[in-house]
Amino acid sequence: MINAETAGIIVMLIGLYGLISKENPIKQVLSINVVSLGLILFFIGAGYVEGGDFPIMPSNPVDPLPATLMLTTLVVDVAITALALAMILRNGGEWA
Amino acid sequence: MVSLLKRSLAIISILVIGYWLAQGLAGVPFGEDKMLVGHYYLQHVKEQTGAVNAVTAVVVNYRGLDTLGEVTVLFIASTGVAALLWRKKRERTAKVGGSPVLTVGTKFLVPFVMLFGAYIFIHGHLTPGGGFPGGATIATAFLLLYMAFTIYEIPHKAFEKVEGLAGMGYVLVGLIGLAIGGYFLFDWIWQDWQWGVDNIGRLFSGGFIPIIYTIIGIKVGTELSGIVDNMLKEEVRE
Repeated sequence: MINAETAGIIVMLIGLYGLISKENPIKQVLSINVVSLGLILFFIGAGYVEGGDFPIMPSNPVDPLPATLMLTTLVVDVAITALALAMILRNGGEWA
Repeated sequence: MVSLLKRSLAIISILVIGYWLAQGLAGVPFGEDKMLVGHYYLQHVKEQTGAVNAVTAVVVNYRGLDTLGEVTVLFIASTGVAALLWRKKRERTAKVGGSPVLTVGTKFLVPFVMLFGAYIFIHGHLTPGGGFPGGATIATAFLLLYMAFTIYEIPHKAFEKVEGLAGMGYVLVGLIGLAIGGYFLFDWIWQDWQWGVDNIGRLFSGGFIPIIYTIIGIKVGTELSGIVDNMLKEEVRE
């Protein structure tokens, strides 16, 4: 069995491969999303402790910090995706 | 042939990068034991912030300034989308409306979707969730309306005003904290007034976390709806 960190790195590498090898701009935006999803999987997996519970207080919680950082990543990811899609829309078919 | 070469080059570079990543990230000391900061947060979250959800407490209370920056990032992105797609006259050009299933379902669901989004951001200090997912849920209600009805548009003037007011409200909450407690985004409701000390774990607790998350939820909802609106409209030539 691979753990979540390894899986996250593999997903990130798949996204990087997409970024390098695909020329369609929509696919590149999707690749950026895949990279950040792999990063999120890596961090959440790294923060997990065996037998830990979600960090809502009367429990045996895991480290809340990775989840917090990844919340920021999600928001920035939405911002990046929106901007990139707007650029593609603006240029129309020229890049596609 | 060229594409095969390119592809194998890509795979080789991916393998090299992956090896470096695995080497570097293997040293990150998450997981085994709680890090110092995370341990401190978990120990003190209840008496210092009044919130039960430690993640929310870190996001809004301990690292409130970062969250203000995050909201700013989203604001800049929505402004950038609007600037990139700006045309003199733009209208919705969709000709085919939604199917009866979609339209009837939208009429039923939109109030409940909005209610659920509001629930998510009001209960951010008690349950998983918060202003960002709540706002995104509200934006999906507007996306449903856009998909179902060809003539629907969000009320732009009202949305812009609400968005600006929400952004100012966040800064205002922080400035009140500066005036009362001595630093920006000081949680004056919890630390000074001690509201909700008796009912930790219920809705009226958590200091200013519900207030700020409501503000963030409204701001994110209006911003994402604005992005959807900008992307769906097309230029009309006269």
